[in-house]
Amino acid sequence: MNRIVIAGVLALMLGACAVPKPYQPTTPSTTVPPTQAPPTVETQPAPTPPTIEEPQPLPGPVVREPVLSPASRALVGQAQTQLASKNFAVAASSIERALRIEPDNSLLWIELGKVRQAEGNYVQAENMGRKALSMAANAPRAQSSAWSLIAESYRARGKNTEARDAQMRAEQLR
Amino acid sequence: MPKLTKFRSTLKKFRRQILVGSALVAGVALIALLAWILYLDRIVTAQFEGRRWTLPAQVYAQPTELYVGQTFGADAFEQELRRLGYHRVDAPKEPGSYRRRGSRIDFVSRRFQFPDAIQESQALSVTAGANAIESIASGAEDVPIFRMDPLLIGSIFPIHGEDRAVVTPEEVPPLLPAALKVVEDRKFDTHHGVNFSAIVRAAWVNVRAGQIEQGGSTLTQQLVKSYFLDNRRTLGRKIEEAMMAMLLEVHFEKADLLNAYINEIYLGQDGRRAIHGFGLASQFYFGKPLAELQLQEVAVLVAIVRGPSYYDPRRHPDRVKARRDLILKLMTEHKVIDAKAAERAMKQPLGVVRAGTQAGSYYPAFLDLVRRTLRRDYREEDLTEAGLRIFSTLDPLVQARAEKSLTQELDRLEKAKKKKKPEPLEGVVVVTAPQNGEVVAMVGGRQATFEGFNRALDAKRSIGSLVKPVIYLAAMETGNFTAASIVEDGPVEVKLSKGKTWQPQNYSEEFYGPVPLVRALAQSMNLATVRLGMDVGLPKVIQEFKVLGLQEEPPQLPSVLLGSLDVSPLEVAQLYNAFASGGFNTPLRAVRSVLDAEGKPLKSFALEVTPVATPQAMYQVNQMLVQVMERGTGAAARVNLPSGLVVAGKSGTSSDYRDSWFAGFSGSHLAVVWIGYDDNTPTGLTGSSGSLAVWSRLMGSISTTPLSMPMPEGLQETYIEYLTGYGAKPGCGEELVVIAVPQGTQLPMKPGCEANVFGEIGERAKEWWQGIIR
Repeated sequence: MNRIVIAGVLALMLGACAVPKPYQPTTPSTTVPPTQAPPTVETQPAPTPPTIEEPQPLPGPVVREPVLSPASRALVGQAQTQLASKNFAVAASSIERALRIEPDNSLLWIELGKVRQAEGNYVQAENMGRKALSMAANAPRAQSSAWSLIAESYRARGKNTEARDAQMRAEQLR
Repeated sequence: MPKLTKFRSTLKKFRRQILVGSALVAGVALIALLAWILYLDRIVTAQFEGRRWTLPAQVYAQPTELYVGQTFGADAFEQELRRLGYHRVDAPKEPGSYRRRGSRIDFVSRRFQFPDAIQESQALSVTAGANAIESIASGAEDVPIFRMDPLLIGSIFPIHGEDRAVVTPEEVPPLLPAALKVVEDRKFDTHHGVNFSAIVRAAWVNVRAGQIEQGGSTLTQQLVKSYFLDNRRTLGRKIEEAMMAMLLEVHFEKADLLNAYINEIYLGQDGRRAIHGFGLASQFYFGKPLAELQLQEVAVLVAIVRGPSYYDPRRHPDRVKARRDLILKLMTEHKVIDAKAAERAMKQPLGVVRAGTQAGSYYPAFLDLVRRTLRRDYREEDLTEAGLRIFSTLDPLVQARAEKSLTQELDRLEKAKKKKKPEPLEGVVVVTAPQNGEVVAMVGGRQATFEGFNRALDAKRSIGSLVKPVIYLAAMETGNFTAASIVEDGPVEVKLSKGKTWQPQNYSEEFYGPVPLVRALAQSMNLATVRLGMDVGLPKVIQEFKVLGLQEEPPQLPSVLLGSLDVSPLEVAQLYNAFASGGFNTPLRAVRSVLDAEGKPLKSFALEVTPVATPQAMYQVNQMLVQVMERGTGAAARVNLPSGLVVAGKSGTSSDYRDSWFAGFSGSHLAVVWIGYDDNTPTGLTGSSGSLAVWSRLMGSISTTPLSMPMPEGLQETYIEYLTGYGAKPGCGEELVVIAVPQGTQLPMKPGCEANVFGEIGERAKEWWQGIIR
């Protein structure tokens, strides 16, 4: 278990070390959470600021937290109401509608995972979390939510060790 | 005359006996008649009081969603409304009508029962920019998202072919019964099932050809004929029909009979499908609900009643228009409408939608998939009789483009052929939305509306090089290979059992020598791939097929590495969907949900995903599949695609050019194309020279998004030389391509480009990282 935790931590640090590439202005549709705003160079292992010698061959990843479009927001709101009245199939179909508009939005996959979790389909809840992770490569906050969902699904299945690891990843990303 | 006298005396002698005998015969005849009437009565009442019609399941396309940013300009949105049968008016008040003022469109939606909720009719205003919707409002309030009522795309009708969409009396425009009575049966409200004077008159009128007059049969008789009897025209039948009509009138109200007539009568033929009832006819000819028909459209349907083949508005528009106008005149004479309205209506064109392009077109291959999906849960009778409502995943726009791309390219390919075959070249197109696994289009053959062998599901054909990405994925999963790994494309000999050997060849019959994997895949090199596959190990490759979702396990044979594997186009779509969705298996679906006749949800097919590959391995392979399109066997597609549309894909050709395949995807669509002959004779086409053209024409003509995959953690992108696989950087090295490799991968550098490949920081970070893991 410890090995997994260490691996997780390392992976995190690795993720962090990928940040100090030239910072690109985000497009208007993306938000940069304040905690992620320009990484401080001191904590990073590479002290020299990038010298712009030539067009940088490959720009590094930019933090891009997903946001919901107004349409998706309306549908997710609808789904949450439907979920509150335990109308799982209908809640899921509302999220699926949003996913047809924004299939790459990890937040929607997380929402769908929450519906699956609520109706007791824990395996699909975890899978939705993994799907969300695959789309949230440069979005630590979304990753954190996805790990929380995965942790919850493990816990519901009694997989406590895995749940703790996933929870730890979620917290470290926050 | 002695004989006659003798006869008379005999007659006198036996008078009693004769009388008794006659009475007996008459009595028996009367009893027989009564029994017959009772028998008919039982048929009539039993059938009428029970379920009056079997209701084929109705299948809907996916509804169009309206939201800010949806890619509809004003023209495109207006087209969409027309496709759904909305008509343009000066002031939209009724459901199904709209008004356009420049970039603003006001419309009144139809009430519709979706699987999750009933959406009431409402008045909305949409403002569209050049390419996208800018606002949607209901009065002063912004509407974030709105579903249009979906297109009815067909039904699952029984073997005998009778299809119908039943309407209630409230859904019938009042003009329709009025017109029917004027044209077909003026005494309908007062007769008792049969109109004797009309029969006599009709006999005379028939002589005066060309005149429009009443037929001899009442509406009730026509109903009986259609409902209970076959088409034989004998005197006996006529009497039976008249008797049953009278019995019906005894038992049932006029209004019930009229409604039955409206739902029963035969109004056209669409291949094997018989169009019954005005509800379906309205959809079939005008693409909209019966309730929304205008006067002239009602008159067209009434015109068709007399002879759906003779008065087919698509084949004989002039004939039908003449009869329509006569009917309008008759309606004026009998004061059903005023002269002005008739005059206005006569000025209108027929307005029948073209078959096969809009509403009213027919998608047998897709409906077959729907039917097969539901057969797992429902009996055949439930589907054809119980009035289920099925919400499918079909996108009619993509479907139309897929049909068009296929026929156009097949025509072109056949024209280019020197040797003509009597048999037509056939083809299949399957399109999915990769992230949710929905099948959005399916064309099962060249004649998309031809029903029969569904190649998309049942044609299991050799897939050739379409297997290659699976082998490369298995290789990446081992962690021992990258896109820059060098394999030898040279003579290969694989030892088979019983001392046999297998010596595969490249299509070009050349050897390319040492090549990086990215190039071997892009140019579909056979020998390099067989080497790679044998290196990775056959069992691992076979296992990869299973994991990705192939139903049947491939045989453990080396020839599988070159695609001697028989798979249907739909299964190929399932396999490639795992690539297109970034490493997740998502069961392909054609149905979202099913409602029963009362609108109660019966079943929904939920979206499910299962991770089937590590995101890193999948990303590396997908990057290579992008290179297939950039500089490999898919490069010819570029001319048909908008610049900036990133796509990935792979061609496939089976031995002797029997099958031409292409499977590829953008960000929002995966399309699989197959071309070949049904008898499996060679086509002379490769995947690139045949199917790729269909694929690119299709992808270039639909609204789709570029492929943009977020790079999973643990990978980094770098440049290599396409030809040699050496690490390189801009300004150093030739024909550079971007590949993804695991972080920390040391690539042999092109001599002279050694330093600084990842930028200084990247290098330091790498050293630091290596310091940690040591």
